[in-house]
Amino acid sequence: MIAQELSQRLIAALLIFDESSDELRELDSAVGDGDLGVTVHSIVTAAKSALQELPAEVTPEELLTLMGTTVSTANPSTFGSLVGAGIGAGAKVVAGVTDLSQVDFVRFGWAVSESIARRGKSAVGDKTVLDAIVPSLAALEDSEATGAAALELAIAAAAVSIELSAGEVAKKGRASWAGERGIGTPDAGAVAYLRFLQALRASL
Amino acid sequence: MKKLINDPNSFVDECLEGILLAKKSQLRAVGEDLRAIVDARCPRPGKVGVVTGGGSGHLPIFLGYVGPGLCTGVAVGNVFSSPSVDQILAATRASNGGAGVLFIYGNYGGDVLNFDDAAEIAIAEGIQIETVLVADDVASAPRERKEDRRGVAGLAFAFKVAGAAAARGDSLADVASAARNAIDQMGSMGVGLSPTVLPAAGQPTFTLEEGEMEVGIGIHGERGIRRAPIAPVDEIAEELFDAIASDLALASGDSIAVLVNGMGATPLEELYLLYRRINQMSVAAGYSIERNFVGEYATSLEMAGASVTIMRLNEQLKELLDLPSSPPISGMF
Repeated sequence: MIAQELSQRLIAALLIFDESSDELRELDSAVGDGDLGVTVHSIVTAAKSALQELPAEVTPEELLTLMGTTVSTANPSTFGSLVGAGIGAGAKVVAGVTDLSQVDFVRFGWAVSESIARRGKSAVGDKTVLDAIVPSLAALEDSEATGAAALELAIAAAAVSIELSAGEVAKKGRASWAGERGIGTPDAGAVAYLRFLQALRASL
Repeated sequence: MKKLINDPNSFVDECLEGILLAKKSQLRAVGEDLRAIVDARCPRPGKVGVVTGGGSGHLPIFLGYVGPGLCTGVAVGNVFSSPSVDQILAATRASNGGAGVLFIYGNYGGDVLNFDDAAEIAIAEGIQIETVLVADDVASAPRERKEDRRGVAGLAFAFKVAGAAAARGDSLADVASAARNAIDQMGSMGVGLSPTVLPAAGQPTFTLEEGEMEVGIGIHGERGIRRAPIAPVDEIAEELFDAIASDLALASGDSIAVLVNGMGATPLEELYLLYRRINQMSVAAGYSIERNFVGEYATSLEMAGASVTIMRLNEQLKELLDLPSSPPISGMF
């Protein structure tokens, strides 16, 4: 996928993703501080306008680097900072690629996930966004499906993992302060990632 | 939602515009936007800078503690969200008088990430940085995981102690050590009676039924220890007091400072009812309240509720608490 197509798909997906702002605000309110909906809405607005102003000859690396900066500055909350820096780190691993393959997307995804784990000092099982990202990438790697079918697999893997971790006690972030009272509520950041994948799927 | 606002998305910037207009001889904005604000006398050559920051929605935390005898600079985020690395750096550069800068802020994920990134850049620019995290909410984690706790109204004591030490000319290491001393000796706990509405979200951040309270609530409406039917204020005071006193292992004969804080929508009258019982209990337990502070020190927009912070005093803390300070906004120390 060349940068121009990536940009168009992202804009379409972001518009759909924005519709989950209210749900994310409510989820975050249950155990956190309720600003995730605002963060997602700011990210969508900033990313959309950044993409629309992008010159046509941009490379995927440049586009993703710009997305990283945009996400981390739109609303530099924990989620925005971690995901933004993650996208920035992911952009570096696709340097030099002009036409992104599915393998490139998976490499990009692993770099994002590693950056979030390192900077956020967290791992799978801590009940964070990583609980959704890591299984979705593993599902993509283990399958030969491509395109929409591959995305379906990633969505299913993320959804199952989120449901499982909803029954756990959060070990990181604001939700960890709620302790056992957070059991039963899925991690809002992980749900945000799932909603983004679903938005990408719906935009295809 | 009923608020005195214009566009919810301009809430923070318009608030800062108002503050800068009202206090133009005392505060100034130093970055590319209005989100990095310093004491107008900055930098003070040879003195340590004290920089804080965090989300909006808590005034007088954080901006209200910028001024003579307190913090030198602040980075202001959106409501309940961290400021950016650039905003923190702008406040840091303007606060640097050559003796280094202390970063002192509440223990929240986004703030830690952004302040750590800013520290790395500032150090590369030749500015000495020390970081002290305020983590005083005893309801957010047990004592053995003290460093995981969130920072709440105890931030006010931490700013006062660090700011006083910096203003009198202490070294960066000494300012940081005084602040750590204060944090080691303090504990806070609060109760929430009604939720907060984020201007940009337009909905309450949590729901409490009529007649319910959330014991141990955080200053962003984070869940506490339990939800229960509202009790008489004396009973609430007793629960908060006992939890903090046992966490600090207070002993008869200890000198303490007590801060009773309103969360935004609780009248001063009710805060004094709370103080009354805290004072009675202190006397009964043999603790001597050497200093008391009653008012709004750390709010959560229009949340109703209150918190109690107790700091065990030693000579160093007593001395620093008594040094003069005159922040243009809060003016409460």
